[in-house]
Amino acid sequence: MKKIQKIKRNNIKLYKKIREKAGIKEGDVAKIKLQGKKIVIESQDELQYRTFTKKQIEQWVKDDELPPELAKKTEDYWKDLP
Amino acid sequence: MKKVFLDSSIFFSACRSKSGGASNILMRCRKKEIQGYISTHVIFEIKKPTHLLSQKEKQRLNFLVLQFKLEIVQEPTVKEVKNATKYIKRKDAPILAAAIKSKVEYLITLDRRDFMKQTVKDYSKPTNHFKVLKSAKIYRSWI
Repeated sequence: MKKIQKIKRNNIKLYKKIREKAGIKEGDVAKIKLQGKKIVIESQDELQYRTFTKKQIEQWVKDDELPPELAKKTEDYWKDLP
Repeated sequence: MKKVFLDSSIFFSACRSKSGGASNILMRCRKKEIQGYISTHVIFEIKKPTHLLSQKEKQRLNFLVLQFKLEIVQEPTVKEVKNATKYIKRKDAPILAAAIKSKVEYLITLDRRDFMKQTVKDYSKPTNHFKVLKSAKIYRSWI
């Protein structure tokens, strides 16, 4: 879907059809990014993915310790795990 | 059979340690003692940060995701995710919403800071009838 328009006084019109397809409603806050010569307008409804750190993962492993007997039973089961 | 929704943290922990609570949960899933559920959001999250895992850990991760009979739940709608943001941070909302949608008894996670909050507990237990638990605590509730 391509629309060409003239930009007046730093304003750009977002066509309703395009806006609705992107999930942006009137009054919504949208993210605007510059990618080279492209301006990307993103809906705030875009799913956000969590990012994790090595430190976080190490803490999880520490928190996840089992009593020795159960830990051994679990480890023995996973002999085929690479 | 008990139904559990597994957060991304479970897979990261299981990749690192064969003897932890996360490995124990996955062992039970493999033995078909419990039914594990995940969402595509979880798969994306665990596949994305490849720099955090060694080659061996990546192999383990593929093994854990592919070889198991984990069920992939239907993705929650934008409305359902938005509703979950009332109780949890926006970035964690897709996980909580997917767990609610999958109608599980437990949401298993190691992310204490965000999922073990009182708001999430209050929301998940009376209305949706599932508990948020740490993998290492599961054995205490079940055995």
